[in-house]
Amino acid sequence: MKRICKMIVIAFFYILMLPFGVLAKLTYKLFGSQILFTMFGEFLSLIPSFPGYFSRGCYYQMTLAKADIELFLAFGSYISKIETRIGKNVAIGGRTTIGLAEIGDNAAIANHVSVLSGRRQHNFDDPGSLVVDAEGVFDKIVIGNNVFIGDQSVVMANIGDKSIIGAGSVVVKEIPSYSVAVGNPAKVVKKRTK
Amino acid sequence: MKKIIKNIIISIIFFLTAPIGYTSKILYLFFQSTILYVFFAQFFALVPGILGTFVRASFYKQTLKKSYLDLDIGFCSFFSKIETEVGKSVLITGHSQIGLVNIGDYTVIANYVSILSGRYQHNFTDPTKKITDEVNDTYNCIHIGSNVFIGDNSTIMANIGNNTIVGAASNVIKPLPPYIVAVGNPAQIVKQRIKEPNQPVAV
Repeated sequence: MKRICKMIVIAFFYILMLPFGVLAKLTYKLFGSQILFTMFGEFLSLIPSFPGYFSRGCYYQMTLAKADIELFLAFGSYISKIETRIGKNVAIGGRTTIGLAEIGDNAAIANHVSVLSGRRQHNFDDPGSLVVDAEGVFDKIVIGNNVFIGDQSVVMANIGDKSIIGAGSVVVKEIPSYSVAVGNPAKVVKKRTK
Repeated sequence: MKKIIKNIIISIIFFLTAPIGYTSKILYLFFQSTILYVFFAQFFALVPGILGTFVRASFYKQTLKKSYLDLDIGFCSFFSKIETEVGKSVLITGHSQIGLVNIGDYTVIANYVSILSGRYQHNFTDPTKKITDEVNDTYNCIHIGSNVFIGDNSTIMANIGNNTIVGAASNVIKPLPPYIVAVGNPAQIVKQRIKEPNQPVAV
């Protein structure tokens, strides 16, 4: 019964989000422009509580390369790249910004986290050029299944399956599977074993 | 004169937000549901400027376990748990998210601060289980003393004593005593705030 009610609510929000999703996806497909995708994504991030969760889930299911309709994206969070792929049963906390990433199933990301589009997003090799002109490379960050990322973390490298990143960590190098990593820069402090 | 005008404006806003605030509170008291509370806490977080500060102060006065009308809470900040207690003249600036806490009087919290509901809010013990099933584990109330300052981008997971200063981008994972300065990830004590070392600490 509860499941049916939820499906009806989701269907309602899906219809509501259809114009946003279709417009954003069309401009991307036709012109390769993410301008509308970003605008609607940021706008929808401002809807509070449960109407917001449903709208964002439906919107990102329509626009992203892969996302589940039950994606949980809390207040103030948005995804800034349309090529991002997100698995099933993923929960993302408030005010989190996600760049170009591939997130596995059952992952949980806490509040105030930044997932950048790789370490080379801003390339400042030439000291003679202006910092604002610096052109970087957008790499896809791969976050495995069953990963937890704590509050205020910054992620710039891949994270393996079943790993846990503590709050306030800065991940600059790849974290292997089944590890607990904390600190700035994040270091593996423990292995998770059965 | 200025004070009178301010008080009149606050009274009007308190009166206007009363239906929403008390409905959320009643829903919590009778049905233990915080669905309306969370919705309006996030909704009022988006009201800009001084108007937003008054609206949020009124709303939290009506809903939280303890809160005062002189609470100054900035744009996009909100309390996610209705059981929170906040002291007198507390200042919280923008974009902070605050869990289950008990904040003392005259405390200042800067921008982008996360205050979790204890260190064991997410307690992952069994690596064979799904992470999303273990996320909401234990909520412990964090006690933040009076006259405390918490710097920008800090994460707080443990209690903080009175008159303590926490530097920007610190990660507090162990309880901090009163009258100290702590910084870093994990936060470590770098200075005592008392001039004479043997002076008794007022708690």
